[in-house]
Amino acid sequence: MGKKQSGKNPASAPQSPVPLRRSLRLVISVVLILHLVVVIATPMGIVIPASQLAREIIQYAGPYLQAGNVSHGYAFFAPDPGPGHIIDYELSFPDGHTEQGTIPDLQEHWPRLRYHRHFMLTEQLASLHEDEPLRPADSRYDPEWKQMHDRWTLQNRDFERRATSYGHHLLNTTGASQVEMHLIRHHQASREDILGGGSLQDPKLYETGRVITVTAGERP
Amino acid sequence: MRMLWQAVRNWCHEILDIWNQFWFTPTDPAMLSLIRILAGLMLFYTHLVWSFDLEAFMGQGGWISTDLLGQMWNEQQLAGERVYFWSHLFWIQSPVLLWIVHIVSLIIFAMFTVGLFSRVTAVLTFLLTVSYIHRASGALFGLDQINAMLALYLMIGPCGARYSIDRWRKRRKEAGASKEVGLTISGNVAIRLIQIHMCVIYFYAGTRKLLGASWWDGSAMWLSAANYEYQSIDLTWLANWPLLGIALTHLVILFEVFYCVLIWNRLTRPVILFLVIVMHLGIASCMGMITFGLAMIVGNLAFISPAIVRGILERRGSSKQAAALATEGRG
Repeated sequence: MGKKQSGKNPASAPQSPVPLRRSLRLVISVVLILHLVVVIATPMGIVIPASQLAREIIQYAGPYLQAGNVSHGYAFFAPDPGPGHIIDYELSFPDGHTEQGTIPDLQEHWPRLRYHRHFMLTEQLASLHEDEPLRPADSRYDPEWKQMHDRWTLQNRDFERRATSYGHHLLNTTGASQVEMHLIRHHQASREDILGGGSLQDPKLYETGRVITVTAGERP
Repeated sequence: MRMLWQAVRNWCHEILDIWNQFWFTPTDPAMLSLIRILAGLMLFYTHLVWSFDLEAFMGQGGWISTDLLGQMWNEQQLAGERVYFWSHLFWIQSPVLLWIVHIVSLIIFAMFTVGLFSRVTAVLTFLLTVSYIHRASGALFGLDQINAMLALYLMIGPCGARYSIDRWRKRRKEAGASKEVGLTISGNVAIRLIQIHMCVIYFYAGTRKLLGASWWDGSAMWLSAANYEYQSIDLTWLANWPLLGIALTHLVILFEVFYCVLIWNRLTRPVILFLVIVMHLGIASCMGMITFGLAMIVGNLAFISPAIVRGILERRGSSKQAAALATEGRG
């Protein structure tokens, strides 16, 4: 590139645009500030406990923030790197035979990004799974418990609906009549486990959590 | 009193000058154009991989069915929350039509990458990226956030001004015209927005980690390495080197929290960019998130001077240009 050029050195002759009018600069500056306020406030409004001010900003900026997918929480491996989650499932077919599978499956889900998409399905489902908050002696006088319980109820409903949707997808794509899905938490091995000759796939590290059964014909 | 007033006025003028210089200094669109190519390749690949399971993730009866997604959005609205998610994929019922729309989308991503009708394809690329993200709820991760962020800002500046078919066509059409591309203010605004957004991402990534005990006691690196589902390279040898794991944990926190300060300094910027490459290539190769690691590196390119890009890509490198990273400051 650049051999046909004659005259001035091209690198030294870039064309500068006409400077912006002050009023236009002012308008652009206001838009930039508003945009950056939304970008900066969003992570503060998503985290628990959240800033009330940030939540208000998120509320007002909702159309822009959501429709434009403008900002997020950016909590990569936070607050702590947790265990992995997988779903082991068994499909039962009308002729009586059964088939097993796992989500995600390193052998089947290639390339790695495809594996990661399936892994996110199980991770995000597992993020909705929590034990029911323990009821205090007299729950009528414990508003904090009621708030936690209401949140758990909504979260649990979302968990069941998502898991059922996964089940129906498996049934529709395989022709099976029933699927039993086991959400499994795969705990990390400790350093001591590894130094003692253990491995990351030691059976004791796998903890079966919720079991969800979905039958063909049930309303999703 | 008058002197104090004058000092305040001078300070305000100085702030205003710095603000104007930061945002409204015209810049060469070389780096923005390079980011277009790399982000375009990532967007094309990201959406190409959806093709393996297109109906499973984007179809009506996918892992998360459109009925369920619509139901969840409706309930959020009934609960008084405003919901503005949208996706053109939501309305496609026929698998054949879904495939046609997907292939057209891939063509648009490819056109954007090579810089064909880049002003139009940049807008379409952003809209498509967001639309796929909204439909694929439940299967998303950091890569999608970086993809959308880069697509948003590439739409603002003249990202097809260099290294593009648009540029090649323009030069053919205007035979004998100057090869030089004009400096632009919009290109500078786009680069500045990427820079600031990268600072926001790292700052919150770091500060949110500080809510977890493992990032304080230094065990987080081990807990990440011992997550079998994430790992793509066996890192259990770290068990023999506990202090190394703890040191790496602290380094990640310090890097992420202080990135937003150290990246602007001319002397520390090369060190920070070196750490960016090491950390993200490490995540890419060890934690199986190659795409996310590369996308973060692409975002960091916004901190490199366009002179260096031109020096490398236009084979006019000189010792001056090579040293520009350290000497030509942004901000």
